[in-house]
Amino acid sequence: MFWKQIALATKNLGRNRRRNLATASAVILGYAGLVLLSGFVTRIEKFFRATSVYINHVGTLSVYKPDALEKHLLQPKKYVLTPDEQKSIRSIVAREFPEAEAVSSTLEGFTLIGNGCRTWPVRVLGIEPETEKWALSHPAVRSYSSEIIDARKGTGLWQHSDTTPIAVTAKVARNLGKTKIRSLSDQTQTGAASQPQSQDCAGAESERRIAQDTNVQLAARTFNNDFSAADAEIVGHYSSGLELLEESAAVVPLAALQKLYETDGVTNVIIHLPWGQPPENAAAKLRQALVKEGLSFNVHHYRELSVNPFYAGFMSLIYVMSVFFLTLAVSVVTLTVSDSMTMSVIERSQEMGTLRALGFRQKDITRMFAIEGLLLALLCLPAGFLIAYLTRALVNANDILFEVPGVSTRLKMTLMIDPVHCLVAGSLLLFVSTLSGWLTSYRNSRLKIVSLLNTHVS
Amino acid sequence: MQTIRMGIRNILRNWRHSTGSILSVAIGFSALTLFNGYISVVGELYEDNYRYRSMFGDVFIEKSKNDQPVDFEESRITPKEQKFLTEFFGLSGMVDAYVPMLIVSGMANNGRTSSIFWGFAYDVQDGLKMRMPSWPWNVRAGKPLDTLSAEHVLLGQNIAETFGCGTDSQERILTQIGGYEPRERPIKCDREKIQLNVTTAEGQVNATNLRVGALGGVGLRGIDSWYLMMDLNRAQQLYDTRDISHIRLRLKDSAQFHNFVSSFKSAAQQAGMDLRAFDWRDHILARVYKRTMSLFETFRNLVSLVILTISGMSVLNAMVKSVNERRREIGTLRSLGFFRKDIRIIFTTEGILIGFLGSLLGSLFSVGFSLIVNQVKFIYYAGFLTDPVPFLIGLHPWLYVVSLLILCTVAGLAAFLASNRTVKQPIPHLLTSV
Repeated sequence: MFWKQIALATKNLGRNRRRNLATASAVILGYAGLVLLSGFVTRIEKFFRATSVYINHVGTLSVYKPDALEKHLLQPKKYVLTPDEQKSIRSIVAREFPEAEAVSSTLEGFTLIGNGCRTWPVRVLGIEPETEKWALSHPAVRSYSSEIIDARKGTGLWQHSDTTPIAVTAKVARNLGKTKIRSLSDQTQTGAASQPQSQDCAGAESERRIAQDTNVQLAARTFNNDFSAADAEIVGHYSSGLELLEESAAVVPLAALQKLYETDGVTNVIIHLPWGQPPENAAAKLRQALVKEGLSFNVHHYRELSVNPFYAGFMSLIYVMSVFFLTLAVSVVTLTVSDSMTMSVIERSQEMGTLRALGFRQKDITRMFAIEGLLLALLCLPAGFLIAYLTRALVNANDILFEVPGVSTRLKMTLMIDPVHCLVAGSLLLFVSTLSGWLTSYRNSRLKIVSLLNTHVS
Repeated sequence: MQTIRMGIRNILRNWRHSTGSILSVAIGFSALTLFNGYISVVGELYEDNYRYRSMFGDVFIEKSKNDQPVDFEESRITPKEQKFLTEFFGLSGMVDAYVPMLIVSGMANNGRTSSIFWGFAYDVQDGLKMRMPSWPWNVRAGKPLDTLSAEHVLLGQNIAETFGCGTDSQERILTQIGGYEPRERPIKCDREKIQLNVTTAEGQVNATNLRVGALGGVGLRGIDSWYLMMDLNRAQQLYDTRDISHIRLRLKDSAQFHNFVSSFKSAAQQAGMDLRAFDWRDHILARVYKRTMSLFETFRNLVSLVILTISGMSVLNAMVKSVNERRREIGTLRSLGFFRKDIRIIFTTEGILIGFLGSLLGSLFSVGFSLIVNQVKFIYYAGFLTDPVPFLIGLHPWLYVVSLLILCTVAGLAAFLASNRTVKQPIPHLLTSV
């Protein structure tokens, strides 16, 4: 019986070809639109995730002292993790997350960078150079944040062992009048690190001298509230990817920043888990493990607003708009299919009566129409996917650049079709199309056979 | 009129087909108005945040070579240039309010912790005029700077946390366009005073102590992490200068923007002033706004394209069916002397009427749905806005009228296309159709 119903449904779809073609075009276009939108959202999400997790060292998970996330800049001495605490956290992470790709620490603070004539305030991040080396070559960064890598100039912190290297944003370098970047060949020269000199700050000669010198001075208050200073060499211009941070950001090796602040503590320990691992579950698991060991620390993940405000805030807006669009598109498709099915049901009232007279039950009739809806959607989804796929190929091949709010550089328009999203959207359309077929035929199928057979359609 | 009457009669006669098409148009109309209504509200939130809360007004005036959010000696506006500007504003008669701004940046500390800061010093009374009418009270806690002495500073919400400043008040949600309720909410600070250290143009480090008088900021994530505002005179003393970074102004009539800019350009040229006036949206500080609006436009275009095409296809579907069923009727009308164009007009009118009725039905749904959603006030974070905002859908008459026109055009076009092929056939052929 079931196969007979499928055969009947298929025949009926072929019989009302023109109308079904118009209905199909609505489903095809709706599905293609949803797949393309999902491709766009996925692209943005992956860019923000790769940029924040790897380039800005937010990590998949981060462990802080209680309240440290809000207060570590206010009372850094109180809220840093001591070497013993770091050790405990690292050993628990190693035990609980053998799949972790990297574990490192960061120290965050403020410092003034001076060129001998002018100072510029920056938010400085102390990082482990080897972790930076690993993070920058991570496949996710290469695939999704290549624009940020391309914006980098010079060398990495890990390549300079003979001096204190510092990477600043291009805008900080400009504000300091520093155009020169220390190259690797400078290391081999005698007196590799340039020496700060007493300078006359007026005139073009002074500007030229500052520009050609990679040396800068860092000045800050230590965690004990004393003044502290250190020399550093600009070894690279980097980008945080976030426009609002570009005016005042710098990174230095963790050890150098600890020395400047006279501390052996760190702000947090960050854990990099494999790219696709859901952070919420991992954070809960780590919390439990820490509690079990009697350790009181806060665990955060990169989707939290408090840890990663740009990612969380922006994605919240994008998701709201996407859900809104999804709802509207599905509603329009549902109504279009229902409309078409209603016409079909009305026209085929006599046919329904005949089938009932031949022994078909009410539910057989509704099932037949539901199958018609299902088949229609099943035929449309591959076509919709094909249109989306071709559009994606066309867009991705054309090096179109677009601007994302808050991002410091233009991004390449690369639509990333996510199979899971395609499956969800497809399932949704299959469901609504089947439901439309069932609902529209339900009322008529309950009419008496005589009434159905006597129906006249103009 | 006759064709309209015939169109209406045909819709009623083929009410089953028409109902489906009308419903399709209705849902298309609702989708367009609801999505655009939502986008318009978010856009208004952002615009209000920039134009009024942040005092961007309509026009920026600054030195021609100044294109960065930081401030250098050579890009500042001198007292002589300021005098020229003030006189020009008076003579032009187009300026409603203006505020001189000096960008300030440096290191702040309260004896326990230090942080970088960036922000603006401005004439606080002029600033109040610029914020009117929607943001006279621009602080979440404390009091606006225009009600305090020059010894006070306004801290962004996030930098305030760095200095241990906060409030017990939970009024953070922007419930509608237009800021916080004008009521003083107490500030709790670890230390009442903070010291600002800046470098002057001569390379000298100057410092001043200020009291934390307000918590507020510009309401944009990231910026509020180091944002502060203070009195202009105090900042000029600190920097040992009488210069300013730029002037922002609001016109009496925003539509006069181009007139103002061209008359300013010629006046500045005549006076030999190296100054430029331009739309606030073109300033580097408004880049987030511009890019956010651009993203919204992309979304809106995608949504409109998909929805209009689907609705159009639905009407086309119904009209093709209708035309095929009425081939003999078309043949009869042709034999009675109706021209082909008359038949096309009848069907196109029918399509437009379907578009019109569908839009009316859709507007009822949209208005009802918007009112319900606006009552629920689902709270979420809208991109870079610091405060969570309610999910609102705007009810703009112009949006409804534009959507009605678009959908009537689409429906009319679909009906025209559906009838076009049939009316070209010979009359005997049409009359013998089954």
